Amino acid sequence: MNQQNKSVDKKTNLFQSAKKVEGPKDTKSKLPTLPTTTEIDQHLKDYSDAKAECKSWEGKLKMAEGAIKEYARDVYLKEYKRQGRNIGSFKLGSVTISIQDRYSKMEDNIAEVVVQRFPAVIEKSTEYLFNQDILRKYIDVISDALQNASGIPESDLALLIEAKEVVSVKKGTIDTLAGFGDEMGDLFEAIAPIISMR
Amino acid sequence: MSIFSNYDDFKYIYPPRAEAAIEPSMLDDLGFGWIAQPKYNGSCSVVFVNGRNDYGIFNRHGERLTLQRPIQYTALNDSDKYMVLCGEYLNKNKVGEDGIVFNHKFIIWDILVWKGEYLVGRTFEDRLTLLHTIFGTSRGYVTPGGIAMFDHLHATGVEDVFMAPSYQNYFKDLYEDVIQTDLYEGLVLKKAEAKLELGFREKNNTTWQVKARKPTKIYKF
Repeated sequence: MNQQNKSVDKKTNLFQSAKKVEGPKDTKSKLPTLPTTTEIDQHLKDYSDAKAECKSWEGKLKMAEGAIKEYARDVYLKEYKRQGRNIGSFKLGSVTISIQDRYSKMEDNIAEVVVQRFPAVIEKSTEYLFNQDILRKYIDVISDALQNASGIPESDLALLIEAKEVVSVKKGTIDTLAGFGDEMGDLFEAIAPIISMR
Repeated sequence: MSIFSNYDDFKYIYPPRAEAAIEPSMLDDLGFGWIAQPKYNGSCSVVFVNGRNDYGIFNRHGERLTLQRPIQYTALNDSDKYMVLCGEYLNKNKVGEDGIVFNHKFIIWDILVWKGEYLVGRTFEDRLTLLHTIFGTSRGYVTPGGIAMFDHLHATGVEDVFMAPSYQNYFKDLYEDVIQTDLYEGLVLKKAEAKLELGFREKNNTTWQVKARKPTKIYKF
């Protein structure tokens, strides 16, 4: 019964329904100040102080993390080279470091060099995207088409979907670094494996 | 030399920016091995100078910088190859040391490519030394009306282009001095021995620098 009713109703445009709803406008500059008590004043002060302290500690944490990761990368690659194999996770003092077989998104500038220098570690795939001009032009029709309607000329239909080649690092690459000799460090930097700390 | 050292063709490089922030009260905790530069209130930009006739200036998101006035960036290059400089393009109508609006200037604070070599692996101190070798360390320059002198800017010899000076100690006092000027937001502290990492990802070189800045003003009307 419900399903029948649905099919009779005017369909909502899929793309319109995906639009974000605008939130309330920023009223920062017009906010009224309400009265406080002595007790709440102390909490407000604690809040501001703690927030400032947190920010500083966050800064310190980021800096320490950065320095540790940099050092970890160097000693990891040194040990990798010495043993001729991926040592995986290891300890630095009380911190466990894991060099993962997961990689940051490869930017075009890096991909260009890696494809040229280290073709063995990359794989290519294709992402399909809508052509935005055609999509805007037929947004209602496409919305209906997606719900079994039609009406797009074949010539535009052919242009509707765009393909983009994506270069990514092959799974397991982290285990093959030893084979790249002196270029190990460069390759490590290019593929940027995720380094986690706990 | 890295496999990325050769820089013959234009490839956008994201500027090395500080993400981490500390409270100014903690500045004196950072001592030996750190170098401070004033933090200027403008648009973080990267200038790619190709030889002596061609240049492009981009914001930190890789988009061409709009609303700027012509500056002779090509006169900064000392070779026929690429030079890439990071700095602040001043376009926020902030008041400078002399009490008047200091706008449409470019202040260099790092060099990423020199003579066609991407300086990956070179320390911040090395790069600063290089900048001083190329542009000198003069805090003043001759103007039609006399001599202009600055406390926290170096002149480069190219009109409207300056360079950030660097400091090695007394960071808290320095901060208090610097923030007296509207144009200066605070300090950025960088590790002298930190090596330049690749800048082909937006988040890069964040591990060796930290900023301390004055609170952002909130205006009430």
